[in-house]
Amino acid sequence: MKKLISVVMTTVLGVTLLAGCSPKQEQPQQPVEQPPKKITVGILQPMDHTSLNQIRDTVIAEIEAMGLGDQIEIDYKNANGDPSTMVSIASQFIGNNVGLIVPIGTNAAQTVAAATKDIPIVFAAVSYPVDAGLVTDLKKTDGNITGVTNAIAIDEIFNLAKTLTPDASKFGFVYNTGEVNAVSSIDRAKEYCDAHGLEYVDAVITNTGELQQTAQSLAGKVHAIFTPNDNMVASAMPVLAGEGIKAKLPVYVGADSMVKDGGFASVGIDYTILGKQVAQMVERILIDGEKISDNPVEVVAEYAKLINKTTADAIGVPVPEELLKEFIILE
Amino acid sequence: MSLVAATGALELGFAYALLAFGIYISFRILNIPDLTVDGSFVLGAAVSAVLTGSGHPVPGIAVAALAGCAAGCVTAIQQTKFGIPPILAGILTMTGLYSINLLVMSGKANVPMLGKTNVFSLLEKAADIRYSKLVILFFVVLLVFLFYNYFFKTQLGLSIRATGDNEAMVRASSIDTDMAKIIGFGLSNATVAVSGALVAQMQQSADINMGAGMIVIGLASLIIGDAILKNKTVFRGLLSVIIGSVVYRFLIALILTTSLPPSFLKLISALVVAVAISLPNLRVKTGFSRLRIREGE
Amino acid sequence: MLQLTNIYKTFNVGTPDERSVFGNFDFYVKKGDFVTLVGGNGSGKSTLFNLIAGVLLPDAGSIVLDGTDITTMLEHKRAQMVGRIFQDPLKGTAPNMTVEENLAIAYMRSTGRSFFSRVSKKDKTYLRERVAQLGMGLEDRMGAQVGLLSGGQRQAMTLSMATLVTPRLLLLDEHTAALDPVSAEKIMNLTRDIVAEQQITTIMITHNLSSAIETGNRIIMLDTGKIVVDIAGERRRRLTVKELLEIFQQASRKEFDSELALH
Repeated sequence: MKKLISVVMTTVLGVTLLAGCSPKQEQPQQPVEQPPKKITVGILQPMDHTSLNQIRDTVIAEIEAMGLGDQIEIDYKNANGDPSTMVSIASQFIGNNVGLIVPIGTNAAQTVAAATKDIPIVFAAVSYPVDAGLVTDLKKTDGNITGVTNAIAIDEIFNLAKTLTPDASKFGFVYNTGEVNAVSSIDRAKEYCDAHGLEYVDAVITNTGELQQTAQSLAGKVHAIFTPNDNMVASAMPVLAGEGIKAKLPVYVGADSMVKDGGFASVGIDYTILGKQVAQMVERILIDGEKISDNPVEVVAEYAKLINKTTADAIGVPVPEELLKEFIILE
Repeated sequence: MSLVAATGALELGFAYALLAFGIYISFRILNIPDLTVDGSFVLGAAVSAVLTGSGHPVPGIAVAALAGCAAGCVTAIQQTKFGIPPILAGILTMTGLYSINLLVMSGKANVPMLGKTNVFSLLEKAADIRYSKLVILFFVVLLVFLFYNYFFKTQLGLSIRATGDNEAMVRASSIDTDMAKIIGFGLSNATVAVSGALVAQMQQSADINMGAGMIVIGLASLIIGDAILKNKTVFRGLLSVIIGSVVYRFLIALILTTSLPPSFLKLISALVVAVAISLPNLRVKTGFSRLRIREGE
Repeated sequence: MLQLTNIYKTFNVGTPDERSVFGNFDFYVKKGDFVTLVGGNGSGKSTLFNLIAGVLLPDAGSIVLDGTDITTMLEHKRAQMVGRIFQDPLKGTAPNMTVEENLAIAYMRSTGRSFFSRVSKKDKTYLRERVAQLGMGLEDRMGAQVGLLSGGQRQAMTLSMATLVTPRLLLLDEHTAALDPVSAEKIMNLTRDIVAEQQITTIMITHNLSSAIETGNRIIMLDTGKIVVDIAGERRRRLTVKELLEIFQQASRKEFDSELALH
């Protein structure tokens, strides 16, 4: 056993020192590209989640639909909710010399960005890439990173609120303090409210179990509830919707799925559109050879506008005629 | 597996070996389960991220250690002075740390430090070394390993070990077991926080949720290490923890190279760990049956 | 030397299980005395030890050891003055640590080294010599884990650890009862030798009447929290087991388990 220990120690030490002492070398030359060889695109997804899965499926399907199936090979990896596994996946992508990496979500994008300065990165669904430190400016992508953000349209949501419930001047903000996207969206919502003379109360949760009580605490205190594209709230949306109906409070939400789950109305992100934009960006950079710097960060081209009629009836809010054409009305 | 992936696995193995050291101290040496680590790991990461952001990467790691130590002491004081059961005390501290961690990160769930100078880029700049992460992590692990090897043979270290081994005897030897536990938990969580601090600088961001499941990762390293190297002495125990942590990372890297559906990752890692642990037992069993067959002849 | 004055101790106060063990209890031990303590179950022997060692605090009264009032002193502080050995050999040693490490804990602590000092070469030699005196062959197993030792060896170690630095008072709580007869004999002889050599004031609980007579210079019997027999001096030296049994039966009017007593 003693021998085993010394062997292990010496090996580890040896490998480390050898690795450490070798002077910095030029990156090995990329192998000369042979026509039949496909370029690999690594997709890094942190965990399984409805919106994230939708993005990933759309990106893969769209690349296929654009007829790039014989030029691009997809290597999709999922960290199953373990942040340290994301690092392993990132180093595997780099070791396999993938041509481009598509990280989904802020943490995945940060992990990949920390791991490589050379391989192009096209992120999907990072709401605030500047806050996340990925780019210095949405229009200035001077590194190896660009992508499509899913920043929600705060202005449009509050405009909608003004049309539907003009008397609502005090909002309850329901969100999870642990979700960077949600917190950043709320910060912007607060800025908007401050600028437009609206009042607001924070109602934060740290797990889905707290949602019901938190929602109930808002009854009688506010005129309406706003929740951003918050994954935790989204996963328990029926609870919030139910409490909203009980208290006759309109619940404005940041994502289309949340309206389907009983939220009142949204001008939200359509992740299918986002996925398609990501796929097109991948094509431009990888196949057409465009530079990252010529591809600034994109916002979602088209928002999903939805109103839940059942909820509207339950809380007694009439939906004006003119909105019926523009919005998708869910019964 | 590519060289980059192998290096990556080794780096992660070393970084999380520190986490496993911390868990080894509470679970194995003091023989008390400590759930504080999920929080103190993030605390270390948060402190290190904030200080790295303001240009102090090295103090960031030192302050992270102090903060982690304080968190551990809080858990131990709850147990020893207020009679709160260990698991609950750990849960309480971990829960409270969520708010503290957010406070440290000025209310943000995620603190990026992309492009900021960290300990790894410092060495890269100073010494023109290619594998700066590997070198720094290896020497930090080595340093902590040597420190604990020395420490657990000092009077204080022996007292802490004996407290986990036979508390009644320790009290009868006129040693304050409460103090031994508080110091042990402090050291344990300081080490965990350093792990979090290094991981954060490695990934160039700290996230409020990055501590989830750290206990499981640490315990997996402990158990794999135990299966490879029976850890009766502190020297072997600590060595087995490093080996366990590195092997665990290589297992995950290996699984990732297969073409199995990504959603099976967790199931496969669970299976691999289960097999790793049961191998020694299986060998004993087959040894017995061979013996029995020979006897039957 | 050891003076217990007016001790009161009641368990489960205010519940239907309320049980008073000591009321107005006085007890005095002279310096250098070796007291053997006998008594049936529930007589208060263990409670008395727990009060002296600081595991329990009395409801009222005072405990003074060598001029120091230790009535409310914390257990681990008191342990610097009071050594204690239990019946269970597992209780006195740390099983996953080596013989040397176990001894080092007892030794370094009582010699007041700094927290970060380690066992020196000189200490190692000294500890080895001390262990060799036990005659248990432990000097060749300094690096072995204590959990691998026999009950007798562990109890010998515990004895050695408790007396490495001479305690002011040694409490022996049936410390040979769990051992096989040969080991028990060995440990009892060791105890007598060490106590005599270091002139330690000692109280020993025992169920074995012949041990109680062969050892020490004073014998005490407790019954329901009272000292019912206290024999010392010349009379104690001439005492036989048979005589002792009769005295006990008279004193407590209880049948002493004669099989156990003569064993």
